[in-house]
Amino acid sequence: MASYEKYLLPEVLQKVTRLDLRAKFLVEGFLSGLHESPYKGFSVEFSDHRKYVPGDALKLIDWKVYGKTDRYYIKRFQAETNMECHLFLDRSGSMAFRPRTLPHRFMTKFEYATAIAAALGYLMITQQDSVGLVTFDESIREYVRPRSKRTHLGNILSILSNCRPEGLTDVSGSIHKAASLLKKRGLVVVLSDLLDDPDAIENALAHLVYRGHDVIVFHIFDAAETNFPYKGGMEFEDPETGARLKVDADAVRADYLEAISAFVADIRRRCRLRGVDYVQLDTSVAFDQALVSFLSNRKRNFL
Amino acid sequence: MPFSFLNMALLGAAAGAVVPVLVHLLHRQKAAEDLLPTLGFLTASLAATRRRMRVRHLLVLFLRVLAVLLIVVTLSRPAYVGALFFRQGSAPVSAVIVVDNSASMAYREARRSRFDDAKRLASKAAKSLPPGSRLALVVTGVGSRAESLDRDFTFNTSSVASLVKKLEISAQGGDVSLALARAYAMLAREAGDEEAPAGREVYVVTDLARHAWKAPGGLHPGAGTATVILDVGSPADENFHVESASAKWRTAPRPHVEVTAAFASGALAAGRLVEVHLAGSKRAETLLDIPARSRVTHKFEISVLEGRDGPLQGWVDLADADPIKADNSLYFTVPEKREIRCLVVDEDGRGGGPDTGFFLRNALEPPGLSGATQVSVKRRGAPGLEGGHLAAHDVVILADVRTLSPAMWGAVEAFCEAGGGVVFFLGENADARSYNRFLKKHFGVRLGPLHRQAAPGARLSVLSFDHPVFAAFSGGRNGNIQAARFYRWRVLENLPEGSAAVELARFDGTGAALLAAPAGAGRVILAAFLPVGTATDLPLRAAFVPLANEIVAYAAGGTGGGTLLARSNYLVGEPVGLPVEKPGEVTRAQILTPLGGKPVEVTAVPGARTIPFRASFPGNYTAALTESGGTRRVGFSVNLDPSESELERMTPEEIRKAIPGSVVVSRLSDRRVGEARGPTRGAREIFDIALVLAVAVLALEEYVANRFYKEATGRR
Repeated sequence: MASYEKYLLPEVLQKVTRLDLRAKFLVEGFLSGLHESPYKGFSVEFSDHRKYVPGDALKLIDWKVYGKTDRYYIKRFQAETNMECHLFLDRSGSMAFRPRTLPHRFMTKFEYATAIAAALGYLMITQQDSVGLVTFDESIREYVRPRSKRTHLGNILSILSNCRPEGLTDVSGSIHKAASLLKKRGLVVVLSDLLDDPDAIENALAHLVYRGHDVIVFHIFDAAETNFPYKGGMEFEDPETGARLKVDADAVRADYLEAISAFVADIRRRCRLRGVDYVQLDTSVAFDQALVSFLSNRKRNFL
Repeated sequence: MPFSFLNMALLGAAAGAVVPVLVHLLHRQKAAEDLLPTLGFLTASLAATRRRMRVRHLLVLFLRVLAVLLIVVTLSRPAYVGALFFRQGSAPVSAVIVVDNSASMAYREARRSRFDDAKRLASKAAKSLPPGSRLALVVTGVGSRAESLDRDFTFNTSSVASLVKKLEISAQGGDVSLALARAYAMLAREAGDEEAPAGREVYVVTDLARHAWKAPGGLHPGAGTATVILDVGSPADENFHVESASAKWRTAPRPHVEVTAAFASGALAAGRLVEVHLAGSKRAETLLDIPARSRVTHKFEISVLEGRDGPLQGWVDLADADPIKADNSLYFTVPEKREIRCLVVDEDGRGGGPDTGFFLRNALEPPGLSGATQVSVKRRGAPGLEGGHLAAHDVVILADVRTLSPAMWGAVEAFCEAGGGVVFFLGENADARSYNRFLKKHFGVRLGPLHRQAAPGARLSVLSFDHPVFAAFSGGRNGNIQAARFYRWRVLENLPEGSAAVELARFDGTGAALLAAPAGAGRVILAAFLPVGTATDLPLRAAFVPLANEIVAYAAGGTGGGTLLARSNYLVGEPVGLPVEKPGEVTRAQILTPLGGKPVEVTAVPGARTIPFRASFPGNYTAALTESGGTRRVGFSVNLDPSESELERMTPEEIRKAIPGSVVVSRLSDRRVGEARGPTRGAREIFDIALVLAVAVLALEEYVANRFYKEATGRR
């Protein structure tokens, strides 16, 4: 394993306390594992021409050159800096969840989401793209306009570092409000556990799509939420509402896992319906899965 | 109550069972606490979860209480006094084994008899008793050799088991209910002994044949007495047996013995060979078909052998094999009738031809059969007749005697008063003046003139064939008595005074021919004819010999002694009263039994009229009775009780009703034997079982509690 690749593992990365370093290690570790640079074609600035070969996208044919030469040439581009990326980070109390009765192995959902947000910001700034940040719980708490300067990354990371998850969640309402703040079309990355009404969430995502944004949702769970490793009698408390429930973990496990699976499937179905990319993650999953999903989305939409 | 506790005081610690209840109530709410943002997904299965948790709580609570109780029970040293699922206790008991050795136990199936099985089970029961037990043996057939094997209580149960092996079938049958009553009485006596074991058991080995339970009611085992009926029988019905056999003397048409035997079978018996033995040799045989569950009677007519010596005895035998051999032979003795000593008085040799008593003498004691017939005849002429001559005879026949002196008539009256019989055959010689007083007194008639009937003569009209004199001729048997012709007879004139005389026959309705009347203790018979050729052709007819014998036998019946013994056939064990002729004298009886060997000698108690004897084995017996007047020989037969051959069985319900608390089982190892005798064997301590149970419950509680609670809390 290369020196940076180990930082793709959450249990390793959580030992790095500084968020800027986390973002750097994460991206560097991710990039060192790739054989081909993903940067080509991300931007839209013209670079040179090459001859058309069957299979090339027709939209890339330079018709002016064809008018002059009667030959087909494909335009090649260099990276551009005018794309805006908006990071929507859920900072509600549920994101701070960490099981008390289970071994402390992974990050919280918020730490995990923050690491991904930082890494994406680092990646975008490195490509001279603009990156903005929206944090929310039951309402929008911070809003940072997109900038492409390298100093802007420090602002974003500073906000992420000082952010403390708490309060109730209103994912859909927050997205609706944030959508009205975004003036320019761009890429919206939602990092949340989406513990809200699925219909409302679908409407909120549809709102973003309607406004012309490319949307990618990172649906983040804690490993304890998706595996439910509890045994025997348990008394659970909702970290947001404080509601308590006494259950036999063994008795309810099957029903709970079925309900979680149905919820995830429902969210995935709704995202697909609205043209939103959906990535389910839990805090035990390596970060490269999130980054690969992000870059795949970019490539599919901008090539 | 099948359980008891050797340390009862510790049972109070059972109150400690409330401790786990309290602990459970205090701790059952302690569940591990944790956060869960996805709590909403749990609410759907909340109801089912709560029910399941409640059940688990209760299960854990139950196991904890049970564990405490089992620990307390274990420390209290529990003991079990039953037999189910556990080995019985080993406390000594007082036991009685009752063995049914009646004839039906000889029933043989599959090369083994029921009695073989019974002995095996009885031995097994004896050997299965706990050490220190006391055992007694009771055999139902009291008349058998086994009677001597009856034993009172002994510690040496092995010796009783050995005795059981020596038991034999009793010919006398026996009564299981009586034997059981004896067994219960023995146990009741035993209960008075302080050293006797507390438990009491009775084992009855029987085939449940109904005949052996003669009085099944009123049996009271007593408290704490276990009665186990070990059934060795089966619902079999294939027994073919001689049910009865009897023999009679018959004089008509010639002296012979008529053997009447009845045969019965539970199943169809076809072509069964039956043999009749008389006086030591086979004299008759036949093949019989007997339908299932029915009875067939057959008569055998066997001519009398000349010159026999002693009582005439025999047996009826089934030649074919049968499940019960003992009832295939039935013994009989031809009733030994008292010899009738008959004196024929006639006018000696008048007319130069045969005297008037000639035909009578030859009819009563035919030449060549002297000693083989019932009647011995002496003849005396009327002229020399004296009163003293009458006393030595049973019957006096006055055959047309002309006249008797008044003294002689007095002697005749006295003879009748003493029980003697007098028969008058009156012809033309009889003097009415001499007879009329006697005839008037006893028959209510007066002797009239001689009647002469023209050819072809008058017939005899019998008024009643039911009378003993003519019973042998009913239905045309033994010759047609009414075909005889009578040419001359004396008219009997009726007197207005009534009498006790009975008219038995008339001459074609013209006048009385035969009258009979009681006279004191004896009987008198008046025949209005003389059996000679000039008066009737009766002596030449077949009916004459039986008629003469029947008349004499009837006249002799007034003496009160038709036979020597009241009966000639007895059942095994039944008392036989050998008659004593002279009670004032010493009478000795030497009895030859069927077993042979030396005769059994019995002497009469002074003054007794009979010598008691009780036979234990079936067969023909002869007794020589010695008195001052000489030696008389009598015979009698002894047989099994025919009911012993009945295979009908008592039902278990009837047994249970007769013996409260008893159980009927077919094998000693049967679980129900344990049920019956469990309370008598004392308690068996089951500390080990209770301990294992307690440890098992504790382990289960630990597992369940760990699974339900500790796993969850251990990860805090």
